[in-house]
Amino acid sequence: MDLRKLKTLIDLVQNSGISELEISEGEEKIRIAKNLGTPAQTTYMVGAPAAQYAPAPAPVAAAPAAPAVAAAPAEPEGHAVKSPMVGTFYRSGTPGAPPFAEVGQTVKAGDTLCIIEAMKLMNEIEADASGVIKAVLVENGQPVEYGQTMFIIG
Amino acid sequence: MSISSPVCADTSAPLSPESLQPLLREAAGRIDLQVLASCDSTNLQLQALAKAGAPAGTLLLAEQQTAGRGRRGRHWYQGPQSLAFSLLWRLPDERPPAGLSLAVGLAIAEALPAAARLKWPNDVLIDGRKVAGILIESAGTQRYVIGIGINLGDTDSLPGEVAAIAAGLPATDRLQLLAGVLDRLIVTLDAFAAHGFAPLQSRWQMRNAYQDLAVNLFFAEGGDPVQGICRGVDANGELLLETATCLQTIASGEVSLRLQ
Repeated sequence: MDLRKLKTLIDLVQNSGISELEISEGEEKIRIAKNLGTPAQTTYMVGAPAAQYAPAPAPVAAAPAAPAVAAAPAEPEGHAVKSPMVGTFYRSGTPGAPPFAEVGQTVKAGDTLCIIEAMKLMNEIEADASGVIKAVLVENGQPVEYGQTMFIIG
Repeated sequence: MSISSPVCADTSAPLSPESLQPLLREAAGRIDLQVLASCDSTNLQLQALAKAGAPAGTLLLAEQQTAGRGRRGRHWYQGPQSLAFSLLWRLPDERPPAGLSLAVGLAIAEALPAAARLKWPNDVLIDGRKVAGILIESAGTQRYVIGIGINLGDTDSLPGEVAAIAAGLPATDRLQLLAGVLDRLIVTLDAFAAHGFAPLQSRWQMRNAYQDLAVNLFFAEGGDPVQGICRGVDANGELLLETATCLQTIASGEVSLRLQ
């Protein structure tokens, strides 16, 4: 992975409500974690076995559990549907057609949520969880980055 | 421009599995052709077949499309002698689809009996006019409907604004042309399945219609275009655009020539 892509990912995490992003690409694994109040930190690993970077569950340093949760971003809680690729985000199959998924709509795993176009290849993105759409976080026609959260399903 | 076909041309050669089969080489045994006299859109129909369990290699060809589709709801106009078909294909689990659309465009350009060039990501041009268009849509996990339209014969019957930017190939032997495109397509898809776009990159570059030319890049959300110099594509098929500040890789957008 080149530095530019890495920088994009760091910016993405920094400017989003995501607190942690983990990506595997072939043998490369990258984990970017955001500490509250400090800039995003990057861990860049090549060929590291999964166990090495699995986050330690208990001791999240100083921050007490409750305030950390309270300070979490304003995104609704739930399952985050993330973009599997870089491209352009479309909420409907054709311009003017109703969106695949609206806030409040109940979806089940496998339902189409959106289309991401990359190099004229239209990728239907399916829900990977069932529930109610709590938030749509990308505007129609906007670019999306790899790993960017597009929907919250609760 | 339109290339008119000779009066005695074999433009009405019936397309059928039986007539196509003996002409296929690399594609022999790899595709299952079904011919429809007319349908709304071969991509739509093949999506339905895919959902019903059709296998990879299913090829749907329509002599006429009443609602042929281009990108984002655009209409694809099909002349009476033109070819429009959709192929259902499956990529290996480990193969990301990045660059697939460029690979398909390259295959068509290499199969046409004329000097064809490519406009990122996948328009096929002859003398600067579009002779073939491609629309690829996902159809489940690692499965794709690859829609291809190739203009044959007179483009005068197309609506004025389309005729002005369209090119037509002589429709002398569309059956042979189809066989040639399918052979090239299968070979290219096999290469893509094995190694992705990287090994095809240099061949794509050789046909890049806008190489080292000033272009505008427009984005779907509108706004001002980004200006730059087209420097070709990277190993994933993303556009390399040299702007005033840096060399950017672009995954999505519309490129047009910028007149100096």
